[in-house]
Amino acid sequence: MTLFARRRIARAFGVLVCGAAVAQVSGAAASRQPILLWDSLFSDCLAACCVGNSYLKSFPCRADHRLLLEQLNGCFFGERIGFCLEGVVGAESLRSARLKILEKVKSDFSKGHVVSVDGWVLSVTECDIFGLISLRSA
Amino acid sequence: MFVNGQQLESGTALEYDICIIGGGPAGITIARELKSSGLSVCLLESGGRDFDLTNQELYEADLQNPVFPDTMMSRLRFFGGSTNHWEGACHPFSTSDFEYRPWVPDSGWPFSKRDLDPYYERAQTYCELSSYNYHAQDWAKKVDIPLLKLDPSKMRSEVQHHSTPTLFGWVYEDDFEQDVSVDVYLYSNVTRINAVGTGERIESVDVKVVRGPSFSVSAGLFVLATGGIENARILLASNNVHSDGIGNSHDVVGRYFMEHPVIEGAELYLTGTFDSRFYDFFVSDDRYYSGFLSLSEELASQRQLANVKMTMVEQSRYYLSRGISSFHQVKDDIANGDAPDNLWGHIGNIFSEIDMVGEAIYRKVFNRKFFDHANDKVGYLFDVMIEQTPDRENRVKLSGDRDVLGMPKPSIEWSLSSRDYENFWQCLGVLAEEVGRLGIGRLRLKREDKRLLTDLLSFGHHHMGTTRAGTNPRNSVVDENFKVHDLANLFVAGSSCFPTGGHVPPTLTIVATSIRLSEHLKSIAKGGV
Repeated sequence: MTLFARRRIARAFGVLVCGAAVAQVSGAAASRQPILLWDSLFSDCLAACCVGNSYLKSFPCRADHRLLLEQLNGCFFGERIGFCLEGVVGAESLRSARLKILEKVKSDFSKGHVVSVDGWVLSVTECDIFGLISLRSA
Repeated sequence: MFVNGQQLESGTALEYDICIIGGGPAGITIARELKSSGLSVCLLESGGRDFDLTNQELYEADLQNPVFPDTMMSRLRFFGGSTNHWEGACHPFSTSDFEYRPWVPDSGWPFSKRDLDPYYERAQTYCELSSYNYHAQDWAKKVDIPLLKLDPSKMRSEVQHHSTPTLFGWVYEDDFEQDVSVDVYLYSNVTRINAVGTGERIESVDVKVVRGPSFSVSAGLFVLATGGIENARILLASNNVHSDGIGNSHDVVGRYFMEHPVIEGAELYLTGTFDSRFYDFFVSDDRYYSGFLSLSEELASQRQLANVKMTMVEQSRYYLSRGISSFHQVKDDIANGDAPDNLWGHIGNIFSEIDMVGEAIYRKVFNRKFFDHANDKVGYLFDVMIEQTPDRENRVKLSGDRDVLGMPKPSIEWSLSSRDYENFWQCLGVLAEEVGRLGIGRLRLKREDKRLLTDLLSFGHHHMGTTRAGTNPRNSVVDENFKVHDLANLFVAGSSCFPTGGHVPPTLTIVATSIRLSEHLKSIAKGGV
């Protein structure tokens, strides 16, 4: 993982993880949907998996696909609107989900809900999503 | 008037109302303040008016911790002292720095920030700075640069003024050139302070010139202003009446030695854009300023933390690359004839970022600049200057070795406590939360980096605390007027008197406290020296 890749991953945190989560919730393959739905930032999906792997190693209690999904559903997808199979997802819904994730990440940092992974200080929410991507890829 | 000590006859006995020992910022400030007082004043400066290696070598010390910087490099021993190579960053200490903080052992000054404010204002002029205004918001408004929208209950932006920097020797030598009320003796090293009777009063000081004459100076009042290490050294070496030295009846002289360790402890990778101009150098009315980040006093109090000064340094992706860092480390180790530690780890780093390493080598070979592309600027390093907790075991002692004048060399025991280290990480944790909340980026802490306390550690070269001020002689050397406890006529000036070191450079506070001391000296002198 190059530093440039890390930078892009960092920039893409909100977007990347949202897309992956959407894919998870909708049952679509994480590697298939995001590129269509989002942008080229997803070329660093491997980096997200690396961070997710480290997170799950450091916090093995989170290495549970269902638990993470429930957490994230509870956070963002309680309404379960707009997220359908095959990426047939309304742009408004995606935008809304992304905003919700960014808000939650911001709120995590505000409240000190952060974890350290490989030296990175990350929000619990974004780590959960990285973990989910990692589990999905495994 | 300048007098060359080398040209005095051996055995000469000089007499003055006030004798100032040391011609650095503290000594020069006090001498200037006393010029028009009607008192006869002498200033004894170890060096000349320019750098001289023979005198500089008198700074040689035994360093018990190899990471501690060479004292011959960190101080300068000629007229103007270490202002001859300072960077010029100025900032007053915070209000809380002067207060007793239960979570900082032995904290608390014997006077408040409010007491010192009028002297800080005057110190601005000495350091050739603009008005005494350190409110970041005011400066941001004035130069029309936005501040980071930090949560004020957690962090704050601060601004420091940058002196030109004022080289006190050069700038103020004309004041002494023709003045007859202050005699500045060059090449004159005080080797002993002579107490009389049972040691409650100082009568004279012995002065030696390297490969030159010896003479003595008697005075009504003495001011020791030779820096954080030398002040303790001279007091400890003056042991003709008390074997432990002068002012040391409670074994405090030389203890509580503090530095300002600076650790390159974190990297910020940008995830968004922000205007960082305030946190770099900016100009207003032809003067330089720069912003930095620190904890809010509220949070420091809540979480019981000592404060830190976090300076952002813009970095290219090359600097932030672990591959390139590993490449340099392996290259340096091989060049030094050492086997690199963790060789396979370094090789792994190099190969994982081979594109970066290759490009960096290409740029180096073909002399291309590292900031060729906008994309190169990807983040910031945080240089974090730590307020070190006072610790009795960090100390300046006398070594068994002696210098060319026969004085025992100083021996320096210094380390960073685990408490300070943990404090440092907690402060960076707060920063990480703030940059995440603001959507600026993500912080990567270098907690696991083995170079943290070697290559990534540097120092402010600020020597403080060895003759700390306080009301209790059991944990202080000088009182609220910087007079040595139990001695009627010996005062100490400079950062050695600081009970705590704050999170900002000390020079402005050295000058402010020196002006305050000179006012006190004048008031005593009016009552009869």
